[in-house]
Amino acid sequence: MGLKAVFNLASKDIRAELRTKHTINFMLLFSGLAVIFFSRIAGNYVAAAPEMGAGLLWLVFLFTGMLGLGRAFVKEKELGTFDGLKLTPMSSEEILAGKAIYNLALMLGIQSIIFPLFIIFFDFPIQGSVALAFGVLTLGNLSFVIVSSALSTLVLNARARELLLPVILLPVLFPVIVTSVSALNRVLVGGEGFLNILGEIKIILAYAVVMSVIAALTFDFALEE
Amino acid sequence: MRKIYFSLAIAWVLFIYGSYNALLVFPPISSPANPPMEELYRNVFFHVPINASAFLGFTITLGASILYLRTRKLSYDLVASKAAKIAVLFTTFTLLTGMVWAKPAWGTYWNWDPRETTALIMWFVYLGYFALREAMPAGEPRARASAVLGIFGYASGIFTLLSTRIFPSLHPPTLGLELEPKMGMTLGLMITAAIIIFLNLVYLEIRLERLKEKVTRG
Repeated sequence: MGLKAVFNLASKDIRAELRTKHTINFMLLFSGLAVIFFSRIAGNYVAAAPEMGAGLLWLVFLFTGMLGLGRAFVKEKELGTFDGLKLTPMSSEEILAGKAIYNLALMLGIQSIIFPLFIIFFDFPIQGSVALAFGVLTLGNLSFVIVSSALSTLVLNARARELLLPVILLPVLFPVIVTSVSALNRVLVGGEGFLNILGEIKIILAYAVVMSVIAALTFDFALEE
Repeated sequence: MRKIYFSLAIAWVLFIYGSYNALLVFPPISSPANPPMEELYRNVFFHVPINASAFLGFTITLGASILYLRTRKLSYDLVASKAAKIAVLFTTFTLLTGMVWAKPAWGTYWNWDPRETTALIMWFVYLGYFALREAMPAGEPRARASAVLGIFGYASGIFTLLSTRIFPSLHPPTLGLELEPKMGMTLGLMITAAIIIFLNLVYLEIRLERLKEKVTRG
């Protein structure tokens, strides 16, 4: 087992998703709608105060991820393949890593379409490097998928799990979202470079590392039934 | 039960003596820049002890959650959930006492100050913890899920404090707060009283739960 198994699991999920495109299509539609709603409702205010933009963009990702990322495990449960997944000789950390990579692929797909769409609809005046902004978004989404993949298994057996997941996920994600919005703002609006946002990047990275460690240590228990 | 009455009696004596000192004995401090503060500083004798015991409670929840996952004894789950329950209650009081103080001191009830933010996020984390518990039937799976969330939530609280630290804080420093010796001692008494009351409430909650189990089992 090891890395190969992790990538096999991730690529299995990605191939299955590309065949049906159920999750990614819904997520794209939803996030596109969210951008359009935000643009219509708050577009003029963002034009006057561009600092609002990064926060709105992150809200779009947050809502979209909340709806879509839990699917990685719920899908297995609904299709009855969850037990099969647990019976594979993969360790629980490998299963988590595979699912997190699949979720990251989903979020990166959304990100590469929604970020340009957002810039277009808001006519956003970009001061800094677009590549750096994209990198910051990716880093934030990485933390996002680690925590949401790990916590989404906790609600599998709960009542009203679709409602419950955001309630337990949002407060845990709060620090990384706020930091990511601040970094994104400094790049997009402040035109600041990599070295200026190093403090924020360190916090996001530290968060990703600590949460991965906790997730890896506790995932055994989260998978049990 | 006798021990409970005894320690609660001590806690109340400490609390009443401390409150008497804090509210009636100590003179107003000089605060020419912000006159309302001359009297309002007394809030510190209530705000700090409540917050200290709430934070202790969240730490107990973390410890009990880890111990539960290691030993699988449901009694640890009981301790974790009850400590979290009382800690959420105490955090509510922390937020309220903080807000009534923040209005005259900083101008608004809510300022997104690092400590305010951390307290609020911890409050929501553990409300989510109870939402998760409510949504599952009692037993092993619920205990496991909430223990895992208890660990994630605590880490998120630490990161909230860290991440807001890059912005300047309005809150007076927690450590190295300068008080006259007599005031410091009163604050110490109040912290002791709050922690004793906190632990007793947790203990009573646990006892109540055990009795409930006994009754339903017949």
